[in-house]
Amino acid sequence: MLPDPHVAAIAQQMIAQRQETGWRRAIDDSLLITGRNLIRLQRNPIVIVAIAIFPMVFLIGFWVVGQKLMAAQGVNYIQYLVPIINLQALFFAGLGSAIMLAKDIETGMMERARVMPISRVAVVAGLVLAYLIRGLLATFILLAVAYGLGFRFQGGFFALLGYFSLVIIFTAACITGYSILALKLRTPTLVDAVAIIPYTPLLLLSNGFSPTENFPIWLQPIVRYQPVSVTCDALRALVEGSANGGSLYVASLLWLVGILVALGSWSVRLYKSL
Amino acid sequence: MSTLQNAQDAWSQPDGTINEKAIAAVVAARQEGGWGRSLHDILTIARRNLLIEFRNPAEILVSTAFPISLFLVFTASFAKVVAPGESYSSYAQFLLPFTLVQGLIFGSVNVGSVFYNDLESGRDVRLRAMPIARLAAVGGRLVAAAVRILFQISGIVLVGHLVGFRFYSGLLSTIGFFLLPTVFVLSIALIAVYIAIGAQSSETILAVMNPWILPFTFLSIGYVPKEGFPDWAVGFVSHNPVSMVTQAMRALANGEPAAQSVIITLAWSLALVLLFGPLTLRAYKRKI
Repeated sequence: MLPDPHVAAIAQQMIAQRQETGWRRAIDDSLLITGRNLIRLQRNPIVIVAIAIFPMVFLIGFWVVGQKLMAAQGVNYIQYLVPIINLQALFFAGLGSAIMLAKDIETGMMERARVMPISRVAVVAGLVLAYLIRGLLATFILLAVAYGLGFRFQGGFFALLGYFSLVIIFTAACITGYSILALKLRTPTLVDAVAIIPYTPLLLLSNGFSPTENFPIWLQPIVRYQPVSVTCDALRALVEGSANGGSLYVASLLWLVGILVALGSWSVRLYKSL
Repeated sequence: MSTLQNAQDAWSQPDGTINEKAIAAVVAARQEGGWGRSLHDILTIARRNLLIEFRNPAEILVSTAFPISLFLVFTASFAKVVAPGESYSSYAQFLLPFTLVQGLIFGSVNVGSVFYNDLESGRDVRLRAMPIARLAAVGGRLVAAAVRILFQISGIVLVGHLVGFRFYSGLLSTIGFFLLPTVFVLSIALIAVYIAIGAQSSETILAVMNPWILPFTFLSIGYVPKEGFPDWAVGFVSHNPVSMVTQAMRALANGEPAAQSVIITLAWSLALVLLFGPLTLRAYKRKI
């Protein structure tokens, strides 16, 4: 049965009056959900450990272990190390977002949000925003600690801008990639257990901790050109203010945007069929 | 009806209480105490815990695969940094004992969270009410954790073999190589269990354990010999218990004299048990 055209018109008018759609409303709702997610993050002790202590411990740990040996290879290890520790912190932000998403699916928060008069994008945007804030916070703390250990940002203002734009895009790519795990598995503990699998090949099998030349020859092409290495190269070039910073930045951007588009469309498809 | 009546007559005393000798007789007949029964109960509980592990294999497989992948990646990336001019397999020989211990120490968090889940679900209260040996609740868990650890060690050693890790020692030393980390990690798991009793959520255990596990593993002779550290760190590095167990296991694998480092490692374990054993018992008794 078709609805009465008169009723349909009234419904349209009501929606318009309550402003349930439109950009303004979408932004308002997204900020609301972001606020909710940030409150949840604040109340979880492990998050504070993950944001402040983990990156610091990894930075200091690798620095103490590696500085003497790397100096023998002519590498100033604190300058070399900060980008990969930063990316690692962002990776963990992505991992955390997947666990929160899985919790929202498991507890029915997702379904609840669906029946409420809020914008459809709000749940996703709220998750991404909250974890972008977490990633940036971790980055600030890390850079402050690194400064104390002798790390100095040699690039200019645009290099700094480039650094932070890569940080933000990398976080977005991590959140998007990990959201697929959450949407497929749907149980927080399972997501937690499996989430470490992309970490090893991508972060550890990169030139972030040790220069590419130290790897076995047959591994070097993979190590050199995989996205984390390329992004690390770009971040290091921006930190040092080297001349090839621009081209490395573009290469890294291409990788990250490509990943965002590919995994993003997959993630959106999974989200719609939820 | 009449037998029950008889039994009640035999039990009850003029003042209305129950004859304690009769209770003791019942307990003896059902063999609730004694070594045989205790052992049987311990194995039953251990079997139950292991069944949980192996029916949900994702957790144990990942926690075995993670140290393996760390081992492979660090061999690939740091061999040329730590020992320029030497082969990858000689660094593998150097690194494997450490990655093994490191992986197991991180796994000890899992022992804590399994225990936490048991407390949450009321399992220990139930065990209390059952006619089983009192020791079984603890002993069963210990045995299950030890089996889990030995499984992990075997997996890691097998993969290490592919990259060039070898035992250059006798059978006894090889057995020691498997048992020493088991004992050491169980004593560390005791800390996780102690935290689990007071924890508000199972994530707390991870949040409390990891911040101090990481410095102990980083600042050890695991990745890099102690000559690679800055001078101010050498003192901590050489006396760190993780360094000790690593050194002991290297010696056991290479067929070098290991007695001193083995004894120091066992002393650390003993100290942990003496410290956290009573603490845990007290907290546990209060909780249940």
